[in-house]
Amino acid sequence: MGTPTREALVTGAAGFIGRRVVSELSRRGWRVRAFIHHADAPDFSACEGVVMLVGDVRDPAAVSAALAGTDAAISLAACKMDEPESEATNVGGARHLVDAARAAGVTRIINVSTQSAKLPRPGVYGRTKRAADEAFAASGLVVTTLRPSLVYGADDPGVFGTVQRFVDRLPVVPVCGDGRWLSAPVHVEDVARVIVDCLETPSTVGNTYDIAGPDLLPFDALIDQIAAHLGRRRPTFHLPLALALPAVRILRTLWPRAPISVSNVLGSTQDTAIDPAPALRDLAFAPRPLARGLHEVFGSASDRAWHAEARALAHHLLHVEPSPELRDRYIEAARHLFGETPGPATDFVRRHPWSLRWLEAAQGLMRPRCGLRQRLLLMAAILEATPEHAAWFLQPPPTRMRLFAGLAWRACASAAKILGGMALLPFVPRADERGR
Amino acid sequence: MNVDADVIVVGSGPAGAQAAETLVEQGCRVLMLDTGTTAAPGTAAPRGAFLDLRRHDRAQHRYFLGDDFSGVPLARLGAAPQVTPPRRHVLQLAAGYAGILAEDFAALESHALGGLGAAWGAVSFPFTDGELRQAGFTPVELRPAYERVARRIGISGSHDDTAAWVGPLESLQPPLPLDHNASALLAAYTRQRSALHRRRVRVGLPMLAALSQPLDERPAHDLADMDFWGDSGGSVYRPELTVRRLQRHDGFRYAPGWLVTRFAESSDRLVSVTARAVADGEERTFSARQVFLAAGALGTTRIVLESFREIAREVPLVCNAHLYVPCVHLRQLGRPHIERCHSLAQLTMLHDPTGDSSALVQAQMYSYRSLLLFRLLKESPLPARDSLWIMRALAPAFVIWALEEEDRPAAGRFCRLAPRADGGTVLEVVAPDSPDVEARKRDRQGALLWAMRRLGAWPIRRVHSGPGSSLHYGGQFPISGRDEPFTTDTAGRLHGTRQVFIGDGSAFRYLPAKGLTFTLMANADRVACGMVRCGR
Repeated sequence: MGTPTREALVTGAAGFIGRRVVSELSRRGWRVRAFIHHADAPDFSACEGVVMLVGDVRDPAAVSAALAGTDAAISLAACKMDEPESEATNVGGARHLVDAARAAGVTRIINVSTQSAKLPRPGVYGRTKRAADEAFAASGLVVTTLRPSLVYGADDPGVFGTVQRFVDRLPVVPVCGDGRWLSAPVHVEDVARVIVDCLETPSTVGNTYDIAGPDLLPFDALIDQIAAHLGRRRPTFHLPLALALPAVRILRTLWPRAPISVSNVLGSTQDTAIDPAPALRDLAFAPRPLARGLHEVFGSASDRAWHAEARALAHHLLHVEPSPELRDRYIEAARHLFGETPGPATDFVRRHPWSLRWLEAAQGLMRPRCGLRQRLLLMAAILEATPEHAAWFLQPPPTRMRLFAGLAWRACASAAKILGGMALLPFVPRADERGR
Repeated sequence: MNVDADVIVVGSGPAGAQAAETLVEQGCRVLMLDTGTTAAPGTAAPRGAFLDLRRHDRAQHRYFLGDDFSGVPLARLGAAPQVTPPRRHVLQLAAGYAGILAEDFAALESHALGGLGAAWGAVSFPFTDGELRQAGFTPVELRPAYERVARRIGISGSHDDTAAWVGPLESLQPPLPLDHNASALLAAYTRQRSALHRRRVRVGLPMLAALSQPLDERPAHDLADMDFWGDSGGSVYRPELTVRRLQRHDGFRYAPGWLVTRFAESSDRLVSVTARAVADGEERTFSARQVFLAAGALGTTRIVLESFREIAREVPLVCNAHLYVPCVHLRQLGRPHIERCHSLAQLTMLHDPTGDSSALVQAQMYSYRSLLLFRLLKESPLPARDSLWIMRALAPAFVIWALEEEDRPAAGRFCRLAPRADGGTVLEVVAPDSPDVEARKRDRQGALLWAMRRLGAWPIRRVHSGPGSSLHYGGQFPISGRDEPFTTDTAGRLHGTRQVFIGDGSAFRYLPAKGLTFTLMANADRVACGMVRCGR
């Protein structure tokens, strides 16, 4: 090859976007200096040409040492949850990077900013990121600034991930504001790709781009879509901003690591004018549609429902999390034996796994050959015919005293579960259960 | 017309295999026509002890549950428990075959190499003289045949308290060791012998076609407790062993892939046998001087009725009734299962309700371990998690008695050939339940259940596995002294034929409670000896 390999510094390389940027750069033949804050970094061993540097962007010496000799820098390190060190990290970090770049003669910087920097009424995050953008703009360096809308993907610690966990775990999803906040969610892989595209497109220098997915939709609609992909139906509860802000402030005071910050509330209640056109034009940016992206994150709704069923059954029978191998074995067998559509009781259990112990107890007595019991039998067979759980099944019997005590206890517990299950039965939609 | 062999043997089950061996020994050229399905590769359990496989084999679900999960009992009526996934092929019928029509009756045929014998429980008691006579045999003719077969296949067991109600057998290997449940129950029996004798109940060791000492190339039983999933390296007898050994003989030819449909005797003293190729449906006719029919009682019935084109002709059907009695062995509660044992029948219990040993009832005892706990889950009305805990705690003290009843021909129970819409025929099995017979059975079972409690094994319930599920069928062409159509003579020759002999259960007038497999083999050997004499 004629040209020597180019090298880039990525700050915030362990983060949600940073991880993907590192592998995308490596895939395109860049050598990468992955600048990370904590030593417990993601595993980049599969990526070629990646060197990990542990340090803090608040430390000017560490930043200059990391930057020296590289061709470009991608600034991703940021505090997003209104932490006390937000100012020092977001603004100070940007300034240190600018100074170091000037000193080292690095000519190319990609500044990854946020839509929050455009808010009329910004929080700590929006304000510090806007200050950082200004520092980069005033530096006279060759900078491109990118402002992504809501970024989503697997294992997101941010807003998307929080919403996902709420939908998964809460019966009602609390939403700050009226739920009409518009965002254009963009998949994290698309963001990583456009960052590297931008780095490799000199004509983008000096510009600022909104990075948005192709679907612009209100927050409530996004929650509905996430719920649908999780196989759930979740009502939302709208908290007026006047109540939400003080509530979150109090929450943050009592619980500094709470999963929601004032900046989150402000960022998800005020619309910003998102203009996707320049990125589409200058960078040939082609983000994936939201439906496809969500499908990639969650798998299909039906897969999710099957996973929930398999987990509920294994948890109930042996109090264990089924390994992916056993879970898939169960799903394959159950699809083959019972078909794709669950009966009403099974469907209820998929949506409310806690109900399994009560429902199956009542059904065992009243309808011993019902679908739910058949599925339990199949899962018991699969759990038993594997070395992983052999120890439980092959345990020698207890001494006689313990045996009789255990039998008495099990009898009482069974009676309680059966009664509880009978009380629950009226709430389970009934249909023809036969063979399901 | 050229002749394919001296004798065509139809079927490779216990009877066919033994007859073929006898015929080949006597210098006959034998052609065995068989459908001959074998197990799919990869479904067999590897050699090894049950506990080791459970703890370490990552592929154990392939034989414990089956690739199609047929080992998980989701259907209301399962086949016999010994038809585990590795033996699934035993009941798998050839593609496109629809030979039997039965409602509420498990009329099962086997197209496997070794027939139903490939899934046989290996309990091998000779009939008593009384049972032999009632079934249509002459005891002195059958005794030497029993001994010959016992020497060939190897029977382990002993003569003990049950000897009075069991036929004599000289050629016995020492019995296999008993497990913890069996030794404790036998000790209890020894203490309570006189009380049980007064109720005409006796307990003893079973005779098993499983080797306690090596025989020919076969090893002694490895006590790995894997008998539901394999054959202990050939220690448990399977007809396939005989067929494989005979294949080394010049006088024997094994032709799998043929489903025999009918036979016809021609004027040149030959019998032609028409068979359909399983693979492509092509029909072909084979000819021989003699034919030995051993396609299983139901298969043979279909062939005979088809050959005579006897549509709607009713022939009798007998089938042992089968009942499982799961028990908790109280004395064993809280004690662990022993490591090395076999999972064949451990004990046998005989009851003589009439006092003249003419209508014995028999039960075999099995310890529950290697069939895995999940099978019990469907029997429990309690919540699943609690059921599993209870079953695990009780499992080492869990024994199952398999009761078998004799069965005699009854009015209204029969097989007949019925025309099918596509021009073919189907064997229709009609077997309605009769309440009075059920009541008599409950009486007889009462004494056995009492004896179980007396020995410390408390019955939990009675599980009827359904009519026909014993897989012991017979009675269609009974041995008869009179010259009647659709009977056989004492030599096993089918009435109205010169050289067609019947060697399977269809020649039995009735089925004693003992299980007919061993007697089937002895009778096949006897009939084959007679065929050699009359063929010369």
